[in-house]
Amino acid sequence: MTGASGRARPETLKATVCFDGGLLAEAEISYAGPNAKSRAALAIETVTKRLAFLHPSLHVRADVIGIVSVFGDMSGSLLSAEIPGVRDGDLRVRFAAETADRAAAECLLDEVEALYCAGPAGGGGVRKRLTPRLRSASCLVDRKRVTPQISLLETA
Amino acid sequence: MTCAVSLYELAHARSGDKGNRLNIAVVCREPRFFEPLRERLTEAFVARVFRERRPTAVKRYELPKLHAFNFVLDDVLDGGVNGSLGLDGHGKTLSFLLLSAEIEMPAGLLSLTEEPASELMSGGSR
Repeated sequence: MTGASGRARPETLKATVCFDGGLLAEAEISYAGPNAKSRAALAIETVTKRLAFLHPSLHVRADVIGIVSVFGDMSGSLLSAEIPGVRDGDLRVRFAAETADRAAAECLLDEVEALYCAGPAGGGGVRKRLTPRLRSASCLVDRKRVTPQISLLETA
Repeated sequence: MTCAVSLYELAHARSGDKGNRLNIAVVCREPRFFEPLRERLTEAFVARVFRERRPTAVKRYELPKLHAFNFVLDDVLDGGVNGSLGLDGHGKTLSFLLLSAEIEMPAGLLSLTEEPASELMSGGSR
């Protein structure tokens, strides 16, 4: 075979860098039976308004699992279009926010739990979750600065 | 002559737990609903609504001055909040399961009623 051509290998290597991405705060509460849709909507309105003055820089996302959740957008436009109306259901409201401020994250969780006693009727099954997040980004590193090595973290 | 009415149109309700025991407070939206409900919203009726949870006992307490009832259902919470695999171990959503039930009421009972007042907020003080 003749005539093959190529290029020199790149001087740089691609690296994936992981760094602290703050906290993911998630909290959920269920409303079921007559008027569940309206109660879910009121829970969302209550929590988002309260967080707006307690932690104004926190963006809180709300979904209603059973109406719009995984299809929904960040700003909740699709959910707003679907939610009006007094209707029954077995619905789960899910709130989520991301922040480096642990106090703000815990505030969201506490506000959702507070709906048990100071929220729409018949709210139940609150679950709260705080998960540290890793963000990643790619960059290029000069090949000369890299010595390949392997680290084995666990053996079977 | 009777007709089937959703209990939601006749009453508010709130529920909670003590261990594996559920209590549901049912409060009539209007005082005039109390007597027909006293007749028809029986322990047997409530036991039937919760039959899949197999209550071992259902007891009804009457609070006529408040136009209300308190129902106590034993062994319906799958072990309670520290035992249940369900989301709502406290049974706080179950008030609305009872309110979703249809109950036979004298025909025309609701014809003079106003729109149900808002029950949207739970029992905290204002």
